Amino acid sequence: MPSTHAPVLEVEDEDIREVTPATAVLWRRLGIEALPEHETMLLPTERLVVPDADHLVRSAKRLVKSIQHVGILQNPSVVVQGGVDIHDIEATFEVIAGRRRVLAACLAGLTVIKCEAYSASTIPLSALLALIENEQRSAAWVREVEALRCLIDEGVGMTLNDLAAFGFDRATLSERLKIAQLPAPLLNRVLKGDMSREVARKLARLTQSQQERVAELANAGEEITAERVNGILRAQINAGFAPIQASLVQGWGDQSSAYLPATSDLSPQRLLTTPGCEEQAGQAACAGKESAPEMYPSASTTPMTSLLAALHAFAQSPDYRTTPQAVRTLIQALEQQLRLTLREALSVSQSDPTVQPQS
Amino acid sequence: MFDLDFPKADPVPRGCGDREPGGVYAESGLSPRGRPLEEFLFDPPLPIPEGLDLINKPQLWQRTLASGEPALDEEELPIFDLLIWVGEEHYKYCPDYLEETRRWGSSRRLNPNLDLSLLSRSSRMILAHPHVLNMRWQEQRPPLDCKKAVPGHDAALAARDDEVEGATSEAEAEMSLSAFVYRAGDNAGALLPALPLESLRTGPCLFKLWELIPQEAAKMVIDVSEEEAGERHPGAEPLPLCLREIGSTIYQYRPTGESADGLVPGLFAALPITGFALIRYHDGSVNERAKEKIEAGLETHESHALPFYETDR
Repeated sequence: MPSTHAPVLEVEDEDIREVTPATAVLWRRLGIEALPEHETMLLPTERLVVPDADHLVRSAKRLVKSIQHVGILQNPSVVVQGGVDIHDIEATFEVIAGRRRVLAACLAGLTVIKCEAYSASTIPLSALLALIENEQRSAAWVREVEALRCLIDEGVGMTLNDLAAFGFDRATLSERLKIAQLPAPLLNRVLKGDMSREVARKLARLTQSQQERVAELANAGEEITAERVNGILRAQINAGFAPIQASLVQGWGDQSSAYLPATSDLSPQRLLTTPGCEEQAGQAACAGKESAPEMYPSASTTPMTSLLAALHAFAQSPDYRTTPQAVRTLIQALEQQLRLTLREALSVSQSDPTVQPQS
Repeated sequence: MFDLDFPKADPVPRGCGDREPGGVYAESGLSPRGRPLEEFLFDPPLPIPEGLDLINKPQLWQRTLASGEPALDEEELPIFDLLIWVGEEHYKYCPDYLEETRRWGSSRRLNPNLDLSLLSRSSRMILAHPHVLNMRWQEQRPPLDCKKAVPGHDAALAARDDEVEGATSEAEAEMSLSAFVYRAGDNAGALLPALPLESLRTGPCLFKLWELIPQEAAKMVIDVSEEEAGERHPGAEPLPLCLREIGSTIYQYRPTGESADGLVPGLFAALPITGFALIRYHDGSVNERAKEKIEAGLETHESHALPFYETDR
């Protein structure tokens, strides 16, 4: 009596193996007849070749701690080099996806790594495999959020520091944690994949009260678009900037012209400039034309000017190079301080007409 | 076109090193007709608005009025400011950056992908640092000198506190307080005694940050005698005079030994932007993409536009 199940299974099996015309075209474009065979293998690290390793080592170091703690959770993909059989004990393998993981495993002292070993590849196929792996990983942030939420719900008393010990990037982790703490209606959308990472990140930056407001909108069935979240976030940040904006609008803009001395024949001083004041003064700036000895001719500052001139002259002399470092430090410090003091003295005298009337 | 003789930042080596070929820098230059740095500082520093992701991400931000309407410049165009994070990897202490700016002007590298055409002479560089807002200011001595002379910020209040602590009665405390205010001799003096005691001291003061730099951060420590000590905290030992070096800057500070643990991120300055510096590559070219945007800004803002220059360093 024929089985009712067997034919169905055979059909399914055939369906899986079937290469559709579209797939066949793709294979041809990739320069292959079919997807090459691959096998999960434990490979010694010395038989793995990581292209561009020098550039990846730095970023790979971040993974070392987590690999030491829990190992590699997703097998790197490798392709055998030189067209030999993947079971050849002399064969070496080029890593086509998971280069950082392999490097980090080596740094962590692992001697063998479980890999997905491909028997052959072409450059386009390697690129495609790397792309597929990244695509599969791109949704990983949602799983991370889910995992963090689980840790929170289970009351696991882990801190960011505890998790960072596994090699997580603190900033990324902190962001994921904030997403995991979003109000339920928003978090559910994240976990269902209904919300982009960009929107989730912006939601996480909102204050709790703003998040609850957005959650109410979500509960009411409204769409939580990127534009909407952006607008709310922007308004929130603007509110935080209010004290600055007020001073920028009312204060400095008006002061810049009022503060300008009436004369156009001033001794150069070097202070921060508000754009526009140069033209208002009707004279070009003298910034960059520093000539210390001649800068401050005011009578009240003459002794300091002389001292500055002497220091400046000494600092330019050949003897200065053979002067002990400590003395040079003191000279530089004194020179800089003198300049500032003279500037400030000049600034005070110019801003107070009763002290030094402008001619 | 614009006059090339506009104020520029000095191209000296800085805390963050030399400027890099191909880099685009917003500058706040020094000039003979400038204004003191203190006028552009926030004292007290301000908290970073919640939700603003600023760390190592220079960005443009449109300025708004209290009403929520966009702030407009003289040419009725919206004003955009530059928000910039001054990282501790190069400027461990906020005074490092301020002292450098005081001496050489400010030069901050920008992401050339920013739409620099939006910036005009009304724009400001709003700066943040990770250790600028002092959450423990009430437990600490006020600074010896508040350079912005914000009422209630400076150390004269410490003298008052000491006197009041030593007073034996409420009447004596009030008298001590009045005596202090009289000695301080500022215009607010007459008002101060009428205020509740706890409201007299205000803060946190930005200028306390100099005193919180540890002595170990100095390149040179100069012990000073009683006579040379100058201004000092009432009842305290003379503070050592420390010299700290950062890039081309050497500045002095007087550490009190108090903890800097209470310092959190905040905004500390809104500097004017005097122009852009485009640093040449070795072949003499500059970042053309950034230059195009700056030139677009020249057309948009006309006389209110920010100038630029090309330089080797």
